Amino acid sequence: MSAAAPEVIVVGSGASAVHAAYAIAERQIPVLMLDVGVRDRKYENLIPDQPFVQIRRSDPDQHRYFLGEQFEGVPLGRLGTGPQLTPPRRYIFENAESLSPIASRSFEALQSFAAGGLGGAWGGVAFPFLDRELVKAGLSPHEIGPHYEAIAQRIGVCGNQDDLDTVRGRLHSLLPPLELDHNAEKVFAAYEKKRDKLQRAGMCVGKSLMAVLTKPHGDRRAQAYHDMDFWSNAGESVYRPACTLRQLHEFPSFSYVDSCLVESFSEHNDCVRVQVRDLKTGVRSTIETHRLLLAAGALGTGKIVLRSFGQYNVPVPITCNPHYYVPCLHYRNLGAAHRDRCHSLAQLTAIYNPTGDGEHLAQAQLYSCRSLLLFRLLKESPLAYRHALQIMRGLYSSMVVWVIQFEAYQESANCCVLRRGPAGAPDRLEISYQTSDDTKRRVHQALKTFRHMMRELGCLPLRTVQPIDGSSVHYASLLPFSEEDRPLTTDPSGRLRGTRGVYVVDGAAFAYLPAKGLTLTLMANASRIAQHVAQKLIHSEPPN
Amino acid sequence: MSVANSAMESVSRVCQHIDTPHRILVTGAGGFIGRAVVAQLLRRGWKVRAMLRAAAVGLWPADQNLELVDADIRNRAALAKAVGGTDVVVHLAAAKSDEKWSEDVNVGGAQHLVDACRAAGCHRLINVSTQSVKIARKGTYGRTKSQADKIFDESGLAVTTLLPSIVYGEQMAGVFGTVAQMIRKLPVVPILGDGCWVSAPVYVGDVAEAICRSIELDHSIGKKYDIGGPDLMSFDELIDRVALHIGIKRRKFHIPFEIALLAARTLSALTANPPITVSNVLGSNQDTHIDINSARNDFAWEPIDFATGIRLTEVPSAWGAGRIGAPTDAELTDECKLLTRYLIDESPPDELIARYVAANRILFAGTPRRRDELAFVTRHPSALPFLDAAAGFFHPESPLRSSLLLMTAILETTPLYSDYFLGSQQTPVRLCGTLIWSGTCAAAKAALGIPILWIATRS
Repeated sequence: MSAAAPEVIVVGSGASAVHAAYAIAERQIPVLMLDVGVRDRKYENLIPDQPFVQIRRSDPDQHRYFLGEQFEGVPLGRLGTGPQLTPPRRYIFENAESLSPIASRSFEALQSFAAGGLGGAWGGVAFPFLDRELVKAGLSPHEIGPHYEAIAQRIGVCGNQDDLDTVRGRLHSLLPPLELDHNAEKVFAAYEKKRDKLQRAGMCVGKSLMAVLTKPHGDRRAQAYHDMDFWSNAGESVYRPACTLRQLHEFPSFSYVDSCLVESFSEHNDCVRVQVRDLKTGVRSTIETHRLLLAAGALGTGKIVLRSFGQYNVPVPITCNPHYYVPCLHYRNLGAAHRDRCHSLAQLTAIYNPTGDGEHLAQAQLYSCRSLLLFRLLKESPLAYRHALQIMRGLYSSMVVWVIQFEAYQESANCCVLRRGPAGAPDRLEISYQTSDDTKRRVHQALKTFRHMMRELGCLPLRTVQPIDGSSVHYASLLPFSEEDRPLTTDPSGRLRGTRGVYVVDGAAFAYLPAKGLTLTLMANASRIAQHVAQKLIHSEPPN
Repeated sequence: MSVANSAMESVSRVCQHIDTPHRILVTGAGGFIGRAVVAQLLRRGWKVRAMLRAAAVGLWPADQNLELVDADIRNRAALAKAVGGTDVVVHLAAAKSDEKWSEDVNVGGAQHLVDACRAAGCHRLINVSTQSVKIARKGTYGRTKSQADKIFDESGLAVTTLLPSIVYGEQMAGVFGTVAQMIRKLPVVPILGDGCWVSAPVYVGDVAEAICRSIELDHSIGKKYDIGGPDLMSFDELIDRVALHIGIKRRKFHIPFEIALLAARTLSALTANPPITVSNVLGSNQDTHIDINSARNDFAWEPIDFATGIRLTEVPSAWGAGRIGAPTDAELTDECKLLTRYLIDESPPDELIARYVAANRILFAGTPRRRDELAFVTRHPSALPFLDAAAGFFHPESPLRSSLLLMTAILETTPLYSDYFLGSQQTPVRLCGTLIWSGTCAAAKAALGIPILWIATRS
């Protein structure tokens, strides 16, 4: 840790944190990143940089990463938390429960203390919000626009302009789109044939905008189409915050401390004192800075702020996108061989515009599921394993999954409260979450239309799976943007009300979540706020 | 000879044996922690002599490295015989419920053990003590264990002392079992005291691992280690989390400390086996500072958090907790062969059998396993297709289905069998034929399997 007080401290190393730090460090302002920084030491060098089928046919060690060294990838009982959380990705959630306990009966919250944060498991779908969505979230479309483009250029986003532009939002700095797999190709061809009919029903389909390289970018490689994206990221074609974290280390003004948990802050005259716990020694210490940028993830940031203000037992809002899985049989591909050259990420995006004016949009992504391995599908079947194996083996290449997401507003029933932990134990966040009847009605109607669309596109829905609330891992609104000067809110510049030099640069400040992944907007917003902070520091303006 | 010199001599003797397989005596091996310890020691390829009471001897599986000894720690002669020929003792035997023989077992037993070790030339001892020795106001258990610790400390033997917090691990055993039973059976959960007492619940597999590592590491000699999980929680919170896990909401009723103490004293006077003891009340109302960093650093040991551990306690609900003892390697080998032949009509190579055995040991470490349908199909292999088909509909989380899932996962990630899982191009007509045939077979077998499932689960 540097002896001189850093001008800026950034808490966390996820998608928001790294781009906030980037905006500060590139202006040569000393910035210190404080992070727990859990890393994967087990699997990172174990997985060959080869196509999925080649690995399956030749690697004798594949069980070590497909099943896990401790067989943690075998979903016995309720142990499996989600099919996409494969053993090589589980480090992302390591120690989260003990460092930051959460209690809830109705909400499953995932937090990360890994280097790169939850972004390490990001699916890569990059959505710019529409202007009306930005305004609802508390952001200015005029201010955020240039940051969308700058981030897209920095991380590399691929895709093209298509029917979705008016409902998905538009980016100009795009790499060529990814190749579609054999299922998505036929689904998209079916859409093109029925475009008019589907658009009259409010449904548009297009290729997903993806934070994936289709051309080399710096030291990152283009997508290799190995269909191994749930297991490894060889060549880093899929963007991860860890890529920017590595770039940050090249700035002389940037420093990074890991094994360090930020617990609270306090303001004294012109400086912010940050209380941190060294996780190796258990020793608590204080670091002084001029500006503190909180990017510990919406839940982590909310917790730090509530603890710092002593706001125990005070409810604050929380929003989270409801989402559903619809596994389908793509019957037009029955018996077809799976194309080996493909990727495992989202292939197509469908957006449903129920009112025609862009209000209450719902959005779905199409995935093929070969690389998640057959035994996970077999577990869901009630048939005898021997026969289920014969059946699923035949249907495997024509199984697809649509993942559908809906918008989330602040609702009075959805809140979280910080409770003081017993002596020596950490404080815990209690979350109450209940979807309102109005939202349920809208979701039900949209799901009906989506299933109709799926059938039109040759996908026979097998069931609709509703995971527990919270499992979309999009959390926001604990300290929402507000024009009104209210406690526990964030002003439009990102400054936390009641402070002079503390800024909320992650999703905790978003007042609303549209039915879209928020990661690209998180990065753009963090960059916007940090740039504003840097300019004030350069011009030596005092804190507000 | 001074105690320090004597200990150093013991250390050097232990170090001489470090490269040879240990022969280890486990006292109290029939207990909740003891069973997990024996399983972990055997997995390391060490020879284990499990000392337990006669009633439990018949329930243990055969293992070439396991020797069962029926001995009571109060019996000097039997103990001397049990210690003979071993080079390490893991001492778990204890009277925990303020019984009238607590003094004899905990204090007298410790002295007998030290004497036996000296006589037999066994110099290494892992003393599993308790956090109760750290509280100021001790009950019989804390007091006698504290005296025992002193005996071991001054014995001149190479002793490592472990002080576990609350240990959980099986649904029907340890604190989880007690708490879960109270929640299930009682409309209101009584708490002895204000419920603010803080513990660090630790998974039984982690305790067993810490014991094994302390045997392996000679720099643990002469030290005392707190053994706890990474989560500190109040007793109220522990109750809430167990209740949340088993899906039952219960109100808590706090019995004031002095009243609880009075009740415990009265019950102890009236009955030989009281439901609560004075030690229970005292132990659950005085905090101890639990610091597991020494164990973490010295043993390179990282206990799992409570959220993960509590899910592992579900495993016995699938595997059952009726009979003691994990399946032997031979049983698992037969099981692996049977399941592989059923799934893909092939015999598994040795490497795959070893993987299946290892996966069982890891996924179900320290948990005894009721055989149910799995035992039935081992005796009647021809019933497997029917039981699998019926269990898929009526008992999807059963041991049989879990074993089939595990076996399928292992086969799928083996290059030799990749073609069974990767699929191939087929004409739609042929594929439809396969689907109809396989679906019909599965449905017919499920129907025939219902009476067999009924028989298997009751046999």
